[in-house]
Amino acid sequence: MADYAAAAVQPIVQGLVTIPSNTSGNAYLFSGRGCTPVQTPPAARTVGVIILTLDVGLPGNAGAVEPLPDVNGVPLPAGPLAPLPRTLITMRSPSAGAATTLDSISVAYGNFTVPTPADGSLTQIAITLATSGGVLTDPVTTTTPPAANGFEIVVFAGVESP
Amino acid sequence: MTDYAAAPAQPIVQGLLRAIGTEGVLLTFFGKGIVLTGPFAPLRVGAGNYILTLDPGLPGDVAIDPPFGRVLLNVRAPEGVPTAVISKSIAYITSAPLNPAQVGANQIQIRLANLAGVGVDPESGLEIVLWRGDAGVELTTVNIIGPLFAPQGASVP
Repeated sequence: MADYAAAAVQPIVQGLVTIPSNTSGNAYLFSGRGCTPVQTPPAARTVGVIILTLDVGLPGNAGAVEPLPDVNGVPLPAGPLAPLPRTLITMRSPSAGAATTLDSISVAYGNFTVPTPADGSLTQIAITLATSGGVLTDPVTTTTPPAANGFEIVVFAGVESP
Repeated sequence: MTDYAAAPAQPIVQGLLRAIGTEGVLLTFFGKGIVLTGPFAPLRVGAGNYILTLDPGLPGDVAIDPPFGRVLLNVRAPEGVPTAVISKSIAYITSAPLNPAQVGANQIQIRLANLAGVGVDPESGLEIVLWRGDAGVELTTVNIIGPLFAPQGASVP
């Protein structure tokens, strides 16, 4: 196969996020690789907001993503926050043939439930899920109508711009 | 690591697109695979409507045959703030001086819209990855299976 890859992106996280109790607001579970397996939700966590913590110790992951672009070893303050990660999220249907109601999907990178490390790196990914009307909703099937049955996630690490 | 890849797809673009400024009129791309300057710099046609030109200086990135394109579009928004972007889509286009039949698509046009179908910019940014898929068997690497001089024709499955 010819090698056409011109823009390196390598997966540092891949997994499935579910709410085992299938109850909105309850603890969620990450099964896969690259994030802490079991997430203990902070007290009164926001429904529809899933926060995953990167797994320390993996090559290319090391539990954090860069907060700012790096120019010859010097962070570029004017650059975009978290310039490198690219995340793929796909909802799993609430049941076979049923459409998910979660159409508003976005991510943010930061330190949402943990202190910011001394080097300023970003250790968590927040996934915000909502209906098309903007109502924050967990990916469970017990809502009316059923929202989703978890979601798949892949996080790719890009490389610095030349 | 064991290589289980059975469906080749190679990244030719990856980056972060941002519409910044009070009116979101400045479009910036941070990443690789897109022309950043000159007449083919990232163009914001309108809210949620962007044209990006593939970087001709990169291998495999000069242009793409649209059936081969596989793209990831992911919205960034502040934690807990539902994004207004409900509709995301892409089109593979060819810049005016070129012939699509000869060069394929050397540009991509991204459309983002809200529930009403009105174009909107992403709250914080838009992550993009574009892979070149393998839409069929590449003849240069096809495995020859069976007799070299097997009969050819309609009767051969």
